[in-house]
Amino acid sequence: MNWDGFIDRVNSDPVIAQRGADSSFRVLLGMGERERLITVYAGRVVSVTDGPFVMPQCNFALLGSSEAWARFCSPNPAPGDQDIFAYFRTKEVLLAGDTRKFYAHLMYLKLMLLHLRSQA
Amino acid sequence: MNAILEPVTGRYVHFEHGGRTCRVYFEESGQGIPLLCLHTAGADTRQFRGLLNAPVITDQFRVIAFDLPWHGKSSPPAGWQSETWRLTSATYCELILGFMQALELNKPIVMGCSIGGRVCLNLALDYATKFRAIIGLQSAAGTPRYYDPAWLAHPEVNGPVAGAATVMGLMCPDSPEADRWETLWHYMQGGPGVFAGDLYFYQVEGDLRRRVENIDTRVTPLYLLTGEYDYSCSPQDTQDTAAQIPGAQVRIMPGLGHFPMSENPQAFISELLPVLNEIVAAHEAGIAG
Repeated sequence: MNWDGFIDRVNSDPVIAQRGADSSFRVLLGMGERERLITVYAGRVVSVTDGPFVMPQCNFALLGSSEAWARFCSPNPAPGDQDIFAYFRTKEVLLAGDTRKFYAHLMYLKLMLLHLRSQA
Repeated sequence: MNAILEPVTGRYVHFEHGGRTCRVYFEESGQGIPLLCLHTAGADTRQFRGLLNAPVITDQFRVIAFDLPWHGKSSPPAGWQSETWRLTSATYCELILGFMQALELNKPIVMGCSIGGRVCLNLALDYATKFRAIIGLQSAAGTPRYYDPAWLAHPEVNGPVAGAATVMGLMCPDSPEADRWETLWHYMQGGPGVFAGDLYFYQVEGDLRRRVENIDTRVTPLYLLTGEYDYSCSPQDTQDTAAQIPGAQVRIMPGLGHFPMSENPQAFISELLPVLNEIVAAHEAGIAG
């Protein structure tokens, strides 16, 4: 899982700049015991805060095991590990919170999560 | 100027369905055995651009693909503004057969992907004699519901963009970037509520898990080709379906996902050609015999 330079990578991604412009949301990633709170405003990641948190303010959360997220973040994910919706099917990642907000910003969210992958 | 004119032609055909006239757009290329192609949910005929422009296919086959009503360039019939598109097994089969009749297609090979792959199983069950062979891409008798497509029609969600985002991970990450994004562009151009309406057939009404065992592949050969990266219709889903159908032939396609014909046309054609050659050889052997 590649958090080094994550914010810069996302904010300099030309695809996100065009396809995710104006997205604003806050997502909690639960990766086993570890939690990260990502705040996106006007199409840019403005902060990534490390947990643990007590009753954090977020729009929605993606909660999964550290093993599932590690597979997702592989530079070459195996079939079935390449997308969070694959984990929705296997229930390895659960969506909680405001589903409308999740869908409204799904394009940005998915493009952003790709930057957690290490370079091949 | 170095212009390129493709061999693909597009036309409209009018035919009756449900007491109304449908104006249906279709594209075709090539000559020979008709190969009727069915697009995925929420998309249109452009998914088959690679096949329509592949001489290795069109030298032997007349490739034909049509946009379902409400999709692509097949506008909804008059009065659509007071209706909601909701695809059912019966409607889907009637539209395919109606199109075939309108174009006077005689025993085509039918090949459909995703919802098109599902309806191929309906065709194999109820209309097998009308086809020379049936090829289901990303085809399974049923799949579990793991997301609710109703959100794609929510007034506070940009449905076509959210729809594209929903399906983007279904493709192999290594498929060519330009082809993956063109596949998503098709989804971004879908009509409001149409993708969700198609998924009613795919997720709810069109479950065939209790029926596919009645498919008789001695009447018409059935091939099921599934990309390994598809988690909507996974390789296991296809293999489970095939296990219920004696004689069904399965081919798992490495390096491909849910949209093989559009996410990586060249790789898909390499997988498809042996199947088409087998169908032709069996047909010629039948004539000779």
